[in-house]
Amino acid sequence: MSKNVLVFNCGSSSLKYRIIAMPGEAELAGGEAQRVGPRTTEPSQIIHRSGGETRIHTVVMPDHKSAFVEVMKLLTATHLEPDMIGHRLVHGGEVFPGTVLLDSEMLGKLRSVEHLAPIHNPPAVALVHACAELYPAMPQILVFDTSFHSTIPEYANTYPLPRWLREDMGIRKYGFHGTSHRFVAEEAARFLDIPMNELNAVSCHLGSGGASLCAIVGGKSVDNTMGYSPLQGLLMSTRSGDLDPGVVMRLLARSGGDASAVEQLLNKKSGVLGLSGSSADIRDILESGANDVSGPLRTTKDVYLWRLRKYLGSYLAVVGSTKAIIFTDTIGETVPEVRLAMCADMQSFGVELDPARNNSVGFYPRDIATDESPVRVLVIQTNEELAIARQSYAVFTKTVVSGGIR
Amino acid sequence: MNILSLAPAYRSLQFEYLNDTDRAVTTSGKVENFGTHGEALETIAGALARVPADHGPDRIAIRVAFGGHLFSSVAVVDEEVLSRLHELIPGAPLHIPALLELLEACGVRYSDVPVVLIFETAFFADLPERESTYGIDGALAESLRLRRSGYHGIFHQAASGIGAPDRILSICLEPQPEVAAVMSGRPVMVTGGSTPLEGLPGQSTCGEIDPTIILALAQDLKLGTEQIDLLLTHDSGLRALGDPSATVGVVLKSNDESNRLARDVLRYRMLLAVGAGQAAMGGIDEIVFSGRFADAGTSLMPWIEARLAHFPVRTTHPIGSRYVTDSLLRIVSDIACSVQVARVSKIKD
Repeated sequence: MSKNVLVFNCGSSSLKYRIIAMPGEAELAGGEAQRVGPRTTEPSQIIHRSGGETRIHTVVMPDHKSAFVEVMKLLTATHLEPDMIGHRLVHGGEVFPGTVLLDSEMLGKLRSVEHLAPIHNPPAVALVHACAELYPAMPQILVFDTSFHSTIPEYANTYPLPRWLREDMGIRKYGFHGTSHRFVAEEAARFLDIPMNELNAVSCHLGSGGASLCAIVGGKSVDNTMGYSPLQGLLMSTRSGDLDPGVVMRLLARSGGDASAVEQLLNKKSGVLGLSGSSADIRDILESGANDVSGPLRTTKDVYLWRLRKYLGSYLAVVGSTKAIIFTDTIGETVPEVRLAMCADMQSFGVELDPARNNSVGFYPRDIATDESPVRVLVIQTNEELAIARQSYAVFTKTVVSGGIR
Repeated sequence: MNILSLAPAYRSLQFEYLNDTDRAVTTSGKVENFGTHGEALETIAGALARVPADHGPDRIAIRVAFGGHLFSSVAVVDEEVLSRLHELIPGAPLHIPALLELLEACGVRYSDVPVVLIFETAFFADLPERESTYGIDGALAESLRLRRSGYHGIFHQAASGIGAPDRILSICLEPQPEVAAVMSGRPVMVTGGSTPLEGLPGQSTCGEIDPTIILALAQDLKLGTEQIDLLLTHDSGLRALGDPSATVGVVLKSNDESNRLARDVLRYRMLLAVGAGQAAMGGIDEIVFSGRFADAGTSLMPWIEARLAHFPVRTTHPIGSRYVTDSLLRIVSDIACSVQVARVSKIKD
């Protein structure tokens, strides 16, 4: 029997939602509540898509709970009743290693992971509480970005730090973007017509903001370039990525020990923005600095592409018998230059990109490797909301339908 | 020719005295807890004087761990070099005066012997910008001189010297291990950073970690930067994961359960570096092990080879391996021997 999954993807001041009929995967309605929170110069509004129409509703939404109430009003007005709610949470820490059906005990534990992702987790946790309060009988499923990475082996998730830090403070690699990496990996397995547990791949989630690579062996994540937080790894739009610990300490000393100032610097004013001094969007840099032989735009482009290439090599070495490299999200799906810089001259790994296919992807999913290439290079559109709907439905059918609900 | 090879470190001076014709070490040792470098050199001169039938050093080679961005890899000491070193004092107020003191002592004790400086970081001075640049504000990095400069340049230089194939993956197994990719003699990638903390974990150093962790130590545990520095420099690395006294060599060779996690983490990080180096060069012709634990490469190499054998390539390309077992002091003296000294420069005292 078809079930309607209402998927919420909570931003710090936004609430994206979709209602998807499962298992058919038809999207019934969707939209985004914008400027949720304290009043700004522009009014808060909901952009609602339903039945081929898009409408803008201006409503006051001082918090995510009120945004939720308004979204429910729009849905019930068109007789779209959800059977369950699937939430996206950025960080589940060690408390939530996998996707779960919410119960009262977990609701209490949720507060303990809020601080792990200080920008994203608190509004999402508040939303979960609001849903539980207003619709106590509605099954709620929590899908964590960290959960796909719970299979990263100990030798890859351990930082060489004193035991008390690792154990008492939970300092280890968690990895992020897991919902997206899992989704495109499943799509890749389907495209290659192999079972998920036979998929060996490197997944490249290259967003216009955050970005990470994921090494996948037997369908399971074995490493992710992000770490304890989403700051580690690749050069991102405003995040520095990897940085010498000695440099971090110098910056800390220079700011008089003000850790939050350094956190701001490394998360908001570094990366593509910090290096270029002009834009946080790598597409701007690739376009405007295309012919520069030197200067900040050229440096930004070179550093961005070089670090991607090195990490791709690292993960190809980890995966070994790779079947596919997967490119996804805004940059991965739409910028051929990035894919070319990463995949050119990589025959020693078995990767042979077809430049013509790379330049004219046209449709998704698309294989842009040469016919002879032992490793396939796939461009796949990510769909985190659908991924959450799939996982929610799977947990729901397993626990609720089989009578496991408490 | 007799070479006196010196490696100064904080309050210690290591030396090796050897003959470049038969490559035999005549005497060697380490002077520690000395008052001045003059005293230290006197102690060494005493050891040299006890060598029978010996005319004394013909050349002095000194390893210098900094300043590589201002000097090419070697410099024969003369007045100009000395004045350039003087100019560097503000940037390295502890190291340069100590080196100048040592040079002065050499001038007093061995006034006719040419002194050759070998700059450790010079090998990485022309590291490509894309590799040396950190992902932070450009002006800030410039003003604080924050750039990747590598650490064990002398070992990588020795690993990729004359006769080496084009694409070398150089694995230096010192207490602070480092992997570099060297193409046609020039470095294109290195795990070490602007300080010895970045890159692979060392015997007591943390290596690459999420920057947020450091900020969490400051914010949540209220640790000061000196405490954090101590924690990451002395209490981390392999000793934090296994037997606290195990060296890189022991960790890589041991099958002991107490070092399992340390070994697995170190090997895994090396595999990541090997993959990055392969991507950086488009392939690897040879893997070269160097450093005082170079022989542990015999355990590491089969493990790496087994992993690289899984690549689904259409044509296989054999990867060679080689071991540079010379010590740092030996490499330093070899480099010093290869330098042409036009005239014997006298150092005024």
